[in-house]
Amino acid sequence: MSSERTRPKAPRLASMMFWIMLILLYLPILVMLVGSLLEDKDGSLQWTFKWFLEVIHDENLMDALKNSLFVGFVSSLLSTILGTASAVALYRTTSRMYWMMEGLSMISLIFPEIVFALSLLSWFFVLKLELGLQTVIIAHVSFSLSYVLMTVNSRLVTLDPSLEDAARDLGAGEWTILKTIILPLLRPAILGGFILSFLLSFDDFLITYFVNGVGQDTLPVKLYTAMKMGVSPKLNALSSLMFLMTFSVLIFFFRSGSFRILFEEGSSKVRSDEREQTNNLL
Amino acid sequence: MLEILNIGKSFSRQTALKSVNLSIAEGEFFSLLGPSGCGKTTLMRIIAGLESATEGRILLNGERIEHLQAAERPFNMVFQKYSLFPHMTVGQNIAYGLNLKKLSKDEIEGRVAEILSLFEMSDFRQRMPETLSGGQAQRVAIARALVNRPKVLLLDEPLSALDQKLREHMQKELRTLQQKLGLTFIYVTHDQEEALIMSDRIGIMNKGELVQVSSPREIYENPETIFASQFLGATSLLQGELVEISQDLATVRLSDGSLVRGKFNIPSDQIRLGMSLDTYVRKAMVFNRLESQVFGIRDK
Repeated sequence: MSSERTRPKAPRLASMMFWIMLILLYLPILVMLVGSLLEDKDGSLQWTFKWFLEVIHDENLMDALKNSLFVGFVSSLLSTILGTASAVALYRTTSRMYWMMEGLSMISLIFPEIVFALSLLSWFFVLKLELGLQTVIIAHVSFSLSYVLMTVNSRLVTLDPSLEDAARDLGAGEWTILKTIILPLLRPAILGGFILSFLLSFDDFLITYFVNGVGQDTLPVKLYTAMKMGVSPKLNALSSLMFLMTFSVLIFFFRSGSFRILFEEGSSKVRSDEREQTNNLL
Repeated sequence: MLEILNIGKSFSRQTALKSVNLSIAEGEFFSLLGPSGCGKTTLMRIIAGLESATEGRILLNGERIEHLQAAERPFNMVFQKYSLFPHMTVGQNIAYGLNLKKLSKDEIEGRVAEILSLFEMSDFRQRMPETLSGGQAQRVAIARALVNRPKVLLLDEPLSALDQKLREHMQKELRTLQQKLGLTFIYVTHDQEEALIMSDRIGIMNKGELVQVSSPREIYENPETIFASQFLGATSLLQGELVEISQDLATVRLSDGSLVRGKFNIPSDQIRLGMSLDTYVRKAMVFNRLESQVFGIRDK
């Protein structure tokens, strides 16, 4: 394929749709970003970082940020461990069991969030668990688990089973195979699952709002309560900060290559086959 | 040295191996040859310990080993798709088995360096598998197995992913290596030519059965079954009419009028002149009609 050849242009209607999509997606964010950088001084608008400074110096908000980071980190760590372990366990089970379990574990992807929140709340009530960050963490683990499972599983199925045979033949037991072959090869998927869980947790409002204790708001919950008193430039600044944080994590996610395996299931396999063919030509 | 006694394997609905008996001598290059799905790979995996047989015994120097795990058997295997660990360098791949044996650092270092130089791959030690060509990857895969000094090296179609030219080169290299080290090789392949060139003895497999075990020359010149002779690609199937019979030789007139004479395998009480026969003619000998081999199956 020559790179010099220009690709045919998309139909005009399609490119128009593309621009409309971009505007729909990003214009509100742009408005928010601009809104957080402007100050109304005696009727004239001026650029300022004032609102960002106010956010950073607001202890309430910083506490909420700490809560969010703490919940995000702990819950995604737990769901990464649990999700990876279950994916590996599922991979080893017999086929019938596998499909059933895989189907069941996808529940949080399709379940209405509000129902999920209510069921968790009543479950905590049954267990007589005091609502607080611990229940938020449990809740976040339970909904992000499916995503980790999905990410890790999509990578697992592309692994060549003869690698395990090779290791076994060279003297490795099951535990050694897991430690030296499977887990290292799953690393990008595990990292991807972790980051995805973190983003989901950091973002989550609805479920957190239900299962949260008093005085331990996460950032989205704090934002919601503050918003009831009207949208201010300060809230815009807070939202912008949250957006930038999520965005930078996402960029890291993209660049680490972990993102690919989520959406291109089996692509790594295709790539290695292609490589094999080109190697044969050498 | 290695004895396989009545090894059988059946899955829930089908039989993969039907009581295979085989004895392999020390230092022998033994090939298992057969079409895909004939059970040759299954047999090899059972020998390696990667799969268990449903019945039968395996003896190594007189001791039963069929209950041992793959890790405990003094065999190593070279896989069809090389199966190098993609996240380890060439050196780490080769040292994998040695590390698990908990050998000393110096010992491991020495053996890895030695095997790399044997394969003229010393410069590739720090390379990742994905940067290797097919031939290089295959050398590393063989080195990774050999470095453990196995009593038997099992090779599962190790050259099938290589192009023709490289394959021929590697065939010679493997055979030389095997003779140099005096090692026992069990080699699975579906490539008749490969088996005929490389092996001391060949076992032909069909539908889970070992149909013939002989030297390459014997198997080529005297295939015991129609399957073996056809699979070796040395025969053509022609229709003909039986015109003469004397002792163990039959003469058949082919449809173009030419006569071929050769051995036949029809019970004598069913044979009569003028009957229509399936005639398998050896390609290599087709010009020397008197030596053609004729097998017969009665036509309806």
